[in-house]
Amino acid sequence: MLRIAMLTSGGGAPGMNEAIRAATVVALEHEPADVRHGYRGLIDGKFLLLDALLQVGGAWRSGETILQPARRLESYEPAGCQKRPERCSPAAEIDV
Amino acid sequence: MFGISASVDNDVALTILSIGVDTAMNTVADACDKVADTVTADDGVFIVEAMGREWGYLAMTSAVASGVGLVLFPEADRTETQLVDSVIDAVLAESGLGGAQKVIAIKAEGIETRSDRLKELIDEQLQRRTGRDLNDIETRVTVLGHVARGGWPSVFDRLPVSEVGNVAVRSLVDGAHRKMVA
Repeated sequence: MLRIAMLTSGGGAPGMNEAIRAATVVALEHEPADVRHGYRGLIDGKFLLLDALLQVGGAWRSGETILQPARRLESYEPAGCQKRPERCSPAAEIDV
Repeated sequence: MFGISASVDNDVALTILSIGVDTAMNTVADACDKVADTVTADDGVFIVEAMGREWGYLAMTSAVASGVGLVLFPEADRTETQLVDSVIDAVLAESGLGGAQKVIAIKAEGIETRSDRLKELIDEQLQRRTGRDLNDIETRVTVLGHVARGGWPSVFDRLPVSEVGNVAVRSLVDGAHRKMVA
């Protein structure tokens, strides 16, 4: 089964939550998940399954993204991955 | 991986308008309107600093929308002295109309000179070139900062975005990879 995870990275922008909501609704049949704390969450394996009705129903109301983005640049670098090799395994199976 | 561009700075390549820009422009223009309301009583220079990273887009569009006549933006590549001179020239030009000396300017975040330093430089020149005392005429700075990133998204930001989220997931399911929808 195809699994779709969503993450937000960088500064927030009003409207991003609406994109997350719309994407979640369409992705429901593919077991949508979100990744907390941006790319860092991808390394740490911080995946949460999303329930469209409970978690993204009123998402458009807030400006900052509901997925808690992160801006830590080290997580973009290969060095960030090498620091915690044991935790890279969840992300390693994902086609990023 | 499939991307959706969202940045109030509107600095994403190959896109016309990013998610959040419309709301941010409205926030900055609204702030300028409110500052303009308060300046009718006082003379002076009122600088509103808007976000935008290295770009002056947010500052420029908000200025046009709220009728602010002076924008300090990085694309113009002005030196510190030129920036100060442009503000002072605007103040002196204003003084022709009924003696009032007040100017509102929007400063883009991308201008390297910090707003507090700019205030000092302008105040110094204001005294010298208008011959007026600082108690009488001075520079006031409002830094909007993260205000522009928050708030309820405008309808214009919400509508196309639900389509964008939809397209992103459908494209992924269809096998699209390392692409972006905007």
